[in-house]
Amino acid sequence: MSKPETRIRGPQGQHVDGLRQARETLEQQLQRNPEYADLHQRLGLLHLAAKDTERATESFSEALGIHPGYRAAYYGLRLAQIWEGRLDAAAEPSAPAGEASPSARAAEELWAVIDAAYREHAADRDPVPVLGQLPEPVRQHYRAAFALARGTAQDAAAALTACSEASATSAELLRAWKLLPADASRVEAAQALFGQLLWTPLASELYSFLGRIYARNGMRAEALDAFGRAYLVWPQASAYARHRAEIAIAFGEEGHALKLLQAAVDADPEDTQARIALGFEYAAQGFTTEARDQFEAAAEREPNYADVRYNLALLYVAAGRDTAALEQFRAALGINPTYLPARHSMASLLCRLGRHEEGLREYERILRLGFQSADMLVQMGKAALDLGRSDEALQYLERAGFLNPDYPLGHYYLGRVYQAKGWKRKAQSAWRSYLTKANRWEPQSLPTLPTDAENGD
Amino acid sequence: MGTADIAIQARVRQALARRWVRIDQLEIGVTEGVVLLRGCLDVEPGGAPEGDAPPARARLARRIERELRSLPGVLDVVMDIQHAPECARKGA
Repeated sequence: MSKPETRIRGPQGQHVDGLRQARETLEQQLQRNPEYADLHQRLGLLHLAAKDTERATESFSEALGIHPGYRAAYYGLRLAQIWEGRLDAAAEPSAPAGEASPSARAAEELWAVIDAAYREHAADRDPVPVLGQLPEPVRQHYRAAFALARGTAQDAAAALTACSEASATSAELLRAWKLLPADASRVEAAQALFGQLLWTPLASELYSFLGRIYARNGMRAEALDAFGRAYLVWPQASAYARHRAEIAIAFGEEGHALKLLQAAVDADPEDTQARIALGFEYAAQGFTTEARDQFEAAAEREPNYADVRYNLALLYVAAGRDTAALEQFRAALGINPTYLPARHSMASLLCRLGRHEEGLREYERILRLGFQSADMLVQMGKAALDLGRSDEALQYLERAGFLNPDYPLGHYYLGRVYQAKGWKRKAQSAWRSYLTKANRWEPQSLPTLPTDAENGD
Repeated sequence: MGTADIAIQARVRQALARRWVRIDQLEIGVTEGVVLLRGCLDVEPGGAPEGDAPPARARLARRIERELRSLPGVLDVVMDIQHAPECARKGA
């Protein structure tokens, strides 16, 4: 198998070696966080992709030392051992200890079949019968990979054709790589491409990581190529569309991103990440009903995802469904009690609904978490003022002024507190400050002064 | 009524995605037009080699804040963030 060639010229003429950048990034991150198991895992895959089984073994072992139940690292380590001839055909993987989610179970079933296929291959036996246990189009992709590595040109061409017929995305990619129609003349090119790849579904995440590196370097074609490689080793049409949408968003192509994310959801309605991303795209473009549909579907599938609950709450707030919004805020906080934006937005909604006591209690909890901002303290001051507790309001507003003396709303409500206390000159002074600060404040959605603010006494 | 918080929230995420900020490392919220970013400001790997140096990271934070302030409907931006090397990452 050939060494992967990844040194490519970028749009500014710079040479970008994706694998090297990825390795350097991971090594830097590991220096800072040596206890982070998935960084070791990713580095192990990088070494495996570079055919360096010794260093791959070290990295996977590190990952397993930190997190002994880390199944992806376990299968990575096994693959390195199979390649080194240290595991024979009879060396079945161990059963996982403990419970796993349905998606983790499905992924492990896939890894176990590929593991068995590699053991057959290493024993110089045909892995195709083992691959029969894989779902489509994974089966055809791996059949083609093994055929290209082992078989005759005729077998390989037939496998490539079958691969292209397995899914529309597979065909689209093989066409883009000029590997179709799959005849003997293209087998050599296919062997070069397929031979560079690390053929395990575990590597999909690695190629996606490389794709992002290329995209961040402005190298769109190379990024798409890397995402295509991620698809080849683990054909998930929805993830592929989602990755392409990431590029479209990064390049400011909102309409295209929306279409790709819709395609991702159509390809796999259970892909919660795709639904969330689609929901945000709809929301950004003002389609709040469509956004809400996506977040509701995501919440149904991932009920314990606090971020989904929070954003669903914001969508309900926008629709004027305050009770439903409060339910979702509470659900988000039930999942993650320190989720500050959710508590902040809920406190604000409670105050807007006239439930100032409850709102203040939520704000106080935020303060106890060690967070404060001028905006939040002003909201607290306003709530206390609405409850007729001007001394308490004064304390919050003075704290807000200390944190950000330029925040206009702080001066405005301070004027209202002074007014409530009958301190007219101080109120006037605060409102004068408000007008001065508001003129310098870019956003214009600020309150107008009370009609008596200009009176001298 | 001004721009809905959810629309601002979505645009904030788009703006961060365009800068390759790792959204999964942040809590992002919008309350009555005030944007709150909290957590670790980290970017996807790649880009210029100097992109990870402390002055570059501080510049990135300032640029992001400026961009977010210019979004329609945003009244203020509160950033309670740490930069990537300083913030502890969660284990697998």
